[in-house]
Amino acid sequence: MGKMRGFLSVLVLLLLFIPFALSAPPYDYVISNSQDWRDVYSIELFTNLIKSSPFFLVSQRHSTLLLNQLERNKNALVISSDSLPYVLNYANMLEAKGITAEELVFNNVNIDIGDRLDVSNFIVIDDRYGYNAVAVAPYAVVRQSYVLFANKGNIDEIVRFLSTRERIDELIIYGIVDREVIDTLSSFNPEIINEGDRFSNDIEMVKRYQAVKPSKQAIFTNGEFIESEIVSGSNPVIFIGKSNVPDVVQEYIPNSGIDIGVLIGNDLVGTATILRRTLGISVFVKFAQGARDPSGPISKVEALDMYNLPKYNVLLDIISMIYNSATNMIEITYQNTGGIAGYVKGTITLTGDQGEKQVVGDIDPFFIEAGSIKTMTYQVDPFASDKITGKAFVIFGEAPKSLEFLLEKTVELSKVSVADKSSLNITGVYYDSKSHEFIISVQNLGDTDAYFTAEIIGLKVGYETNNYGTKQVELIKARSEREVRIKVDNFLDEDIGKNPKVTLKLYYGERENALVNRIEGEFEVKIKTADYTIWIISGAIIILLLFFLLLKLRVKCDNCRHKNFIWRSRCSKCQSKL
Amino acid sequence: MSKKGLGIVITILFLIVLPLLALAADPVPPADLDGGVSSRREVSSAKSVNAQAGNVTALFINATVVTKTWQGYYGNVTGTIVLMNSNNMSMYDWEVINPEGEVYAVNDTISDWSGIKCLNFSANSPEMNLSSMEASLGLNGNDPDGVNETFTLSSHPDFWVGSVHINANECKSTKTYVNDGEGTNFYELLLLEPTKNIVVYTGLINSSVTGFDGSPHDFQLLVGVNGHGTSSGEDTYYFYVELF
Repeated sequence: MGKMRGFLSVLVLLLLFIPFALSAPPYDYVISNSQDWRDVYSIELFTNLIKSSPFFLVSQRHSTLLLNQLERNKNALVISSDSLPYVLNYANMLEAKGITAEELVFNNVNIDIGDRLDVSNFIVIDDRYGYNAVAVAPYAVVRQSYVLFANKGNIDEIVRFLSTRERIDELIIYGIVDREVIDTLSSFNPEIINEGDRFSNDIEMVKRYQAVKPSKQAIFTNGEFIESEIVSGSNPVIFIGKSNVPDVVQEYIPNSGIDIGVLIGNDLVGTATILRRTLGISVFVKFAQGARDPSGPISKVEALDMYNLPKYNVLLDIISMIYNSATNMIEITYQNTGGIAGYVKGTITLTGDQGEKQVVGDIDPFFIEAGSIKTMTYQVDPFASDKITGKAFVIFGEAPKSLEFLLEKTVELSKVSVADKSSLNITGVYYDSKSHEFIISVQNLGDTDAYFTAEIIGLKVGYETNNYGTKQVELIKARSEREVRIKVDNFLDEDIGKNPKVTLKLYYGERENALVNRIEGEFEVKIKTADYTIWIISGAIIILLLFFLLLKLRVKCDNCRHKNFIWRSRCSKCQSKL
Repeated sequence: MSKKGLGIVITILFLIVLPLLALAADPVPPADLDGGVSSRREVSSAKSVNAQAGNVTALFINATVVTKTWQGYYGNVTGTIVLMNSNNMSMYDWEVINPEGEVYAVNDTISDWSGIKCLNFSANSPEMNLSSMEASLGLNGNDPDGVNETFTLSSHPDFWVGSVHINANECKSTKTYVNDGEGTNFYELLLLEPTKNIVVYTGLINSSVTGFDGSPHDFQLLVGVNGHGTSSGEDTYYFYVELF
């Protein structure tokens, strides 16, 4: 028996060094033991490609619960992170349960298990965007593609990996990636999928899935977690938004052939219900699983196993709603309270206590930089009412077509009567290549101090086109000029040629929380040369100091009392030896 | 002397929470020796009957053991739900106020809900039928807690599964117990997903009505597990509900 076990162990070890063929699953279970979502994702995908059953630990406690889900006398492969496992030697725990288990420990799971796959299709994404991993997973499974995480820091390793493949039939670069990734992988003739926002990108992936394996059913989620069914490849994944379904999704589904949605988890029941009722498709919610450690023959159901991914939420608030009777304008001031820039589109219903009703809003989404405020103004007919209530219905998101969040707020409007007399002008824009900043010169033409924010619209940076703005409200004194700086980290010298002119917008006003005026214009970008003034002055001072020092240190001739510079050996006047 | 066969009560929903199936493997002395009185599952001391010569006494042996074939689940699909998960407690706040429809339990993913239909006990192989279903649960045809011994009815309302209409009384069904007794609050029936040939246990939602334990629940249903022989009965079921 001992000899048989030894023989089996050797056989299993030999198998570990053979790339996995995709035809027969070598393991019944493959279990992820890592606290890094990229490892979990890579292992789930790997397992689905080799047609085994995937599991992933989500906590240390889960390591014991999972044992109740596994059958004895099966064999399992545990893939563990060498730096961030949940438990050490998990294979041991499985063996105690009667499961034959082997454990592989890796430093770079994504690359190391990719090396063990015999595939010729690849998808490259940036690991800063977990939702992109979710979007590509179903297509990757049906197309037998492996997903690689690439950025400017590891691109060389990715190139090494791809260069060692026998052949590459398909290489897709999906979503936002560093420009170095695109540039470096260009030799592999990749297909680039980037429609500008994650919902449009995801729809492109769904179309590709449908072309390979047409399906009447889709999985609804938002790319915020991994769940087994999402990464299984059984159906394409459609992002449906957090509290508002973006137009691109609502427009795609009716003609897509998809008439059933399966929502994973019940966090998005609201948006799923919107789809159900507006498009008439059937929607099922996968909301629970059976207890892994049943308290008895009758048990409550448990929540699903989900692995959370990093996510970026735009956070927005309305800080004031004002009716300015001097101008008959409604002034709505928004604040982006989050860490990323966003786009906003609002509809405000105004109701006076005397029954008047008016609706104002935005035809197109407007940009708001992270941490900054923006005041939108709308012309209205004069209100006779003393009390006006504003009901705001505002959708917003990280891109103009990704307006997935909803802000609803009802407030009583403040009333002012202010004729804002501020007057600003933009006099020029420079680019400082050392600090990667655009320097905008602003002039206050008026007699009152003014507040302002500035934006650069449609700046081409690498392969992206984005808006950038100042992160706080700036003050400019009356009849003065000043400069503000907008930092664009990824802007390189090679981008200067793509932006000979830039569009600038200035929002300003007399009141800090009511930037009710705006100007816009196109300006030629001047390149700020290096500022050598300080060096010149410093150099001059040093030279002067040295000169005075030399004068001080002159040697007096004993013969004629003439003072000589220190390097002289003979007096310059009488030639006596010094 | 005749023995009434072991009256193994299928609907374990009668029972109070008990130790796991392992206990069922232990022989249990009969709780009483009178016919017609079901016993609680408490291990009691063996009883004896005084035999009297010349008399024939009808001896009825009743005992209940925990089935190795069925696991019961219950829960809610409304309001704030606290579900224990592998990490910590998760709390969900459903927006659906008056839930309706069905809860589905299945031990695999359903790749095509549009093909759902009633499970046909007499279907031709390879389609799942009674025989293959019982075999998958480690049952013999004459096991008293078998599938057809549990789903004995064809009595249920009609309902929709997505765009598929299930007619009234079309599928094999049962009614799970309420407050430790027979009731009509919770219908359960057997559906089939034919693409993957998997059974879909379907419980009709009945919002916040009294369940097996006297407390209100939205659903309760039985799912099949194989706890026979060396099988450990582990089978993860996933629960679905349809939005309206």
